[in-house]
Amino acid sequence: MRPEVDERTAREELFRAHLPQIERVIAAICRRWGWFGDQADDFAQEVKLKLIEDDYAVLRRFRGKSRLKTFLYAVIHNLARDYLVRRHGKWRPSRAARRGGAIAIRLDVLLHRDRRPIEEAIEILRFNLGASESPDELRRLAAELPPHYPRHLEDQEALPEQRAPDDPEEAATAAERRRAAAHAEAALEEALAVFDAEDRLILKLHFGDGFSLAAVARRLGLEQKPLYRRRQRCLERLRRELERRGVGRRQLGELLGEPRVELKVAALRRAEGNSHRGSV
Amino acid sequence: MTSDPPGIPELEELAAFIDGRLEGTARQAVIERLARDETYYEVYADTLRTLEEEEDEAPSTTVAPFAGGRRRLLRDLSILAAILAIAVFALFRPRPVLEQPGDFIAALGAEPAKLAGRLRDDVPAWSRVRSVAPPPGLPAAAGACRLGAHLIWLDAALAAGHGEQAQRLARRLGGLLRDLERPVLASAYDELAARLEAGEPAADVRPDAAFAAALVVEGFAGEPGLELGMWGESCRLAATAGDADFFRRPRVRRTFDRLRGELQRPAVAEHLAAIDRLLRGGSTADELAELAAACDAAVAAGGNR
Repeated sequence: MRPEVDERTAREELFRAHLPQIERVIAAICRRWGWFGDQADDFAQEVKLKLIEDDYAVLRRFRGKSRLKTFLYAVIHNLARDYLVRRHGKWRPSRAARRGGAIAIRLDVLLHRDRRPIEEAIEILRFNLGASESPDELRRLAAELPPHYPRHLEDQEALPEQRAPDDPEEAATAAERRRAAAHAEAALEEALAVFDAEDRLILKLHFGDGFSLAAVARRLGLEQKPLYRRRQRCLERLRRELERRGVGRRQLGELLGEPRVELKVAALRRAEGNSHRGSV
Repeated sequence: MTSDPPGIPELEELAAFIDGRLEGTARQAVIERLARDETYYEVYADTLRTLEEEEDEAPSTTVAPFAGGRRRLLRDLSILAAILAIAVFALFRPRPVLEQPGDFIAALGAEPAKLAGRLRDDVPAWSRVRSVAPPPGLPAAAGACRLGAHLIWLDAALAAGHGEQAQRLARRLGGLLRDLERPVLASAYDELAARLEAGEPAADVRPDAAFAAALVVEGFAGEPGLELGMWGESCRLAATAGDADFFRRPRVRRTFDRLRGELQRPAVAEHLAAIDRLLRGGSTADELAELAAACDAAVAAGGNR
């Protein structure tokens, strides 16, 4: 048998050996994004096809720098991200929904992408998608999901599906709130830019994605104990940077409703909580 | 800020970062990108979450429901014990260790050329290197240990650009793998040897050798002999080169600790215990020479019946 044929066979064996793990991670992704039935099958087929196409090109390009399992997981999550963009365009479930799991994501999709009323969303979840949560539990979950506002003021024009409040006063308040949030967000981005990359990554993982500091320490190869003090120092510094940019408690309050910067919201909540001087 | 979707090499770099295999500028480059590129970060965070969930699911803590004061107390104690067990498990969960030949070579502080100079020039057969005749029908554990040592030699030779030496080592690996009834993997090394023989530069062959090594590591998963061969041989190289820093690296030490737990064969365990004692000592030239001899003995013991 020619060596190149054997190499292909080896890759095929490798793929087969990892198939159970591949299927487990596909199932986990489908659960997380709330893909069931045909949609889950469709995604699974797509992933497997991508892994075997062009004579296992993905495996062929693997150079052994990482564990094969970790590499495959990263590849599959990257495919899931592409799949998501194809299905939903640029609309993305909030970080809060992603942390909450499949039901929270479906609820976020129904409420904030499809603009369904809460009662209709609850009905769809319970009767069409088999959610076991009670209506009250789903209402509580919905209350924890932040609304989706555009990131920048100019983007607000590009959201035809966003329904404006009927009451002019309410509409003006909503617009003012969005402006304040955008201003605070810009200040926050500037403030975060002064941190070094590893600090920003720690803040993102811990506050944005809800990883415990223990997990962050383990995954970044850092000692856990000093990380608590480091987090504290980061938050204190963040507060000082915001103060320098004229962002105070009121603006932070506005920012708490801004969904695309939930990392920053959580960080700021801590910053507020850690403030001993009464005003931020 | 987002950028173009990550390609396969970038995903592998990200996976290596997740596995704790990147150091220095390579690690910093990934951190910088994660901090500024939202697309890359999403793939990273999602992959981490899946790995965390898998690890969380590993220990089962199912507690049967029962009622009543004493039973409830017992149940609560059971839950407490389970939580403590999980906490202890998490506390002592193995940290990333060295797993691929490239990891070991990367962990060695000396220049590849110096390393390759430490290899025997003529790459003699195992019997000459270790002064023990190869037994017929090599046991899998011993064969795996020999494989591990050869993988280190091959990667060091390729890293140093010594094509001829690498070619002989690739042939040797092909032979070893055939002896171990792994013809598919053996043919991959035959192919590498043929390319080197045809004059292809070692640097061009090295990535494919890394892939072949990954196949071997996967193919011998659960066989600690392979890792003993890689660990022991790279330690011998480090000690011979006077590279005391190699032994201070936490991943090197963790790999050793894991091996000690897994390798219980008396002949090997005896040498590992000696290495353990030496690792606790200083790093004088004499001590390193003693360490090199102990590593040599451990690999020889592991690679023989």
